Amino acid sequence: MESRSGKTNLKMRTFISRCLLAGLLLAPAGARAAQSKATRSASALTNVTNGIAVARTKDLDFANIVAGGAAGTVVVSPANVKTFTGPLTFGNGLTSNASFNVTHPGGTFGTIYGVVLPTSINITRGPSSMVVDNFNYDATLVDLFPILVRVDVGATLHVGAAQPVGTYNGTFNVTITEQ
Amino acid sequence: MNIKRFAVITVATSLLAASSLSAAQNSATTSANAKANIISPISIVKVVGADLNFGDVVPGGTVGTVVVTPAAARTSTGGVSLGNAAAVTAAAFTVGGANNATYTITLPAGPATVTAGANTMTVDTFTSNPSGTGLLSGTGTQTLNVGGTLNVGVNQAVGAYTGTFSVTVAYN
Repeated sequence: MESRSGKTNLKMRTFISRCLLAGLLLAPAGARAAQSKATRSASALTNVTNGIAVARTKDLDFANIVAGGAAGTVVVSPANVKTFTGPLTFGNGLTSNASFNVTHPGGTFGTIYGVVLPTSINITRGPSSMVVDNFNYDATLVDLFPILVRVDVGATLHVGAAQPVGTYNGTFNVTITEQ
Repeated sequence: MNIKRFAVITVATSLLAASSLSAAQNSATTSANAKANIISPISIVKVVGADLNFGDVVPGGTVGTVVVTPAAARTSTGGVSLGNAAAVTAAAFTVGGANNATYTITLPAGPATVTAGANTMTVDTFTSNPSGTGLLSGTGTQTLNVGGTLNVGVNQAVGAYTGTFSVTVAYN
């Protein structure tokens, strides 16, 4: 029986109560004399959470990029494939797509989820900034009972023509909703 | 905001009765970091006065070579003998860029030509220290020394021979 809210729990408690009452009525006559009234109460059921949870396992990292003297972009795909466009030249270091584990004990076959990603964010270093946009994702079903889905996120970094040297940081939110 | 959807297995059935029991939509939010590191371009500059110089060379009746190592040690083979060594130097470059970055070193694949008027010789078999790849220091620099082999002809004409060659470095 799926448990989606407290209503199901109430049903369970009700179900248990009826069984006990029936047992009392059927007790042998001799035994009845020793009994007056027995009351049982079911202990409160565990507060089982069946809601969605999302946890970050990897951050988005564009690694090292050589400022090319003209604007360009760096794309990191959800599968962590790095692509340069424009006159940017290659830099070393390992890129990373962002990755999230989505769990949903109350979810099942056919459940539809929405993924909310930003349209764009800024990553900054002091007064300098760069735009990260074109957030996109791939979802991979890792386990069905219970639901575990891995959501990998990639994006595009826009590097300016004379982008100052240094490490730029920013944050972005991911929201998973059950549709 | 940009909303897209994925379904746990593409089946049209939905949760029907169960969904009528659910309260507000289930949702969860978390955040992640986004990071990028802009690094300066790699550069290579020749150290002033540090050219590849084979010094004074005396040709002979048979061909020979003169070798100068990246450490500026000079030797000869064949019909060549060595003259004054005062001017012998290996070429030296200062490589600059991101701290602790590695880079590849590309020396000329083919010979360079040195000329004195109408007369020429070739320089090839370039060697370097570091060789192949280099590692910039914690302040983003490294000295790259380059040597080579001078091919001297039979009774090579007297003269001051000069030429140029290029070295390329690239982040890897």
